[in-house]
Amino acid sequence: MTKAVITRSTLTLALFALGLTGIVSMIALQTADAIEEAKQRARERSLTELISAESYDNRIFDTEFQGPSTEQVKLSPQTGILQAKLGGKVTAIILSIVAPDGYSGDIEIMVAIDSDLTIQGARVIAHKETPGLGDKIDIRKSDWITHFQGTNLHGDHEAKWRVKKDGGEFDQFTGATITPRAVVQALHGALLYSEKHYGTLFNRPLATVDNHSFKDEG
Amino acid sequence: MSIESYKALTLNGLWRNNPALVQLLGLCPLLAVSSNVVNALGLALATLLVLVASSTLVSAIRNTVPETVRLPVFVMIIAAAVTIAELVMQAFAYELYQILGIFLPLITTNCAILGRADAYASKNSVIPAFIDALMMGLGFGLVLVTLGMARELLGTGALLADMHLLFGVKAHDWHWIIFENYEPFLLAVLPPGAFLLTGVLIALKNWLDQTLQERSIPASETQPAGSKRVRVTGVIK
Repeated sequence: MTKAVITRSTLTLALFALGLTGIVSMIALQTADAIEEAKQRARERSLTELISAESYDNRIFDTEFQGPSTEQVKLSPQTGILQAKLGGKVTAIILSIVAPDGYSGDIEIMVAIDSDLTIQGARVIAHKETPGLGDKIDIRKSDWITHFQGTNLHGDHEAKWRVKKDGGEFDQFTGATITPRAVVQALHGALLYSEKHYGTLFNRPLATVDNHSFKDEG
Repeated sequence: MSIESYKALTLNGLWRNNPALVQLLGLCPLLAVSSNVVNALGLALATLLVLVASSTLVSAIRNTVPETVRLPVFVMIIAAAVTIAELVMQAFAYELYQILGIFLPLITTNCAILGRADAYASKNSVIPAFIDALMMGLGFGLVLVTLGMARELLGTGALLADMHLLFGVKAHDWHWIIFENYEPFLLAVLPPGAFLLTGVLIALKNWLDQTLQERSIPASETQPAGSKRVRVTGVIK
């Protein structure tokens, strides 16, 4: 192959790469707003699934703030913490968390935790898990994620907050353990985080709402 | 190009050399996404869009790209078209985008598309390439939607569930429950059902072809020439 042919091939490839990247970037810019809007709508829809409409009277998305950073759970870098209030009192918080150790990429989860540190609801917002195996964490594919409703840190939570294969209480899927394990861990982390930073998240100290210890039941 | 050759392109894409039933290309998304009509239709439209865009572009640049780098260039064009389809779907049908998930970016690897780009578009001028891509895309989509309908009907006893994901709120009441109290037939919705039903479709097509051929022989002695592009099924003569 002569030098001229190599040069021509290289230049063609480079030009096409450049041109096509340009076109894609242009369309990405054009659709960016619409995509952000669609995501926002999806978030709002999932909000109504997370907490009952009677438990708040404020505009939840206006309460967004960045929570204290933490080791217990990875908070979503895009969405802050939301507070559901009833009569000015925080009844529940909504955390956007990321399970970084899924089977393929981050799993974005929204979870509502009420003021006695019980999960009101959780939904997977975005994921890239294997279709037919790991994607059962998605409410459209199975009701698995609804089983977290009503769970809390009571009792020996370190042992309970695992998939059944690891001795815990939550089902794994046939052929997929890594995905549910990542979700279970992330949600457990979210509860631990809410307990640790209760004052900041609920605008009042933990003891005043709950007199019972979180570690007294079996 | 004459009208006759357009007719031939149409017939090839939709029936004689159908990408899904004869060439058996792009089976992975075909089998994975055809569990109901709305998913099938969503992927069919995205694939059609990508196929037409990439084939037309490939045909337009066929004389400027050196032979040695033609495949990487084709793949780049296809990948760009897929990314654009992905962005558009994300903007206007976000829920469907989420359901199709990984199968949307995987359109890039649908060999039906690279196959058309290399086998037809790179050797023909723009208009025939466009028609060929359109017909191949429609042929692929037709099989996809037929399979989606068969699986949804057998699996759930109803048709057209969740069409609002593609057509907006007004499509909510398109859901057509054909059998009340239907006991879900899980096999049809699961991957093995997809394989079985695809097999049935291929068999049906071959049976139909054979019957038609047998009927036409007494009338005319000529036999249709087998296509070289026929890969697995069909008769190679």
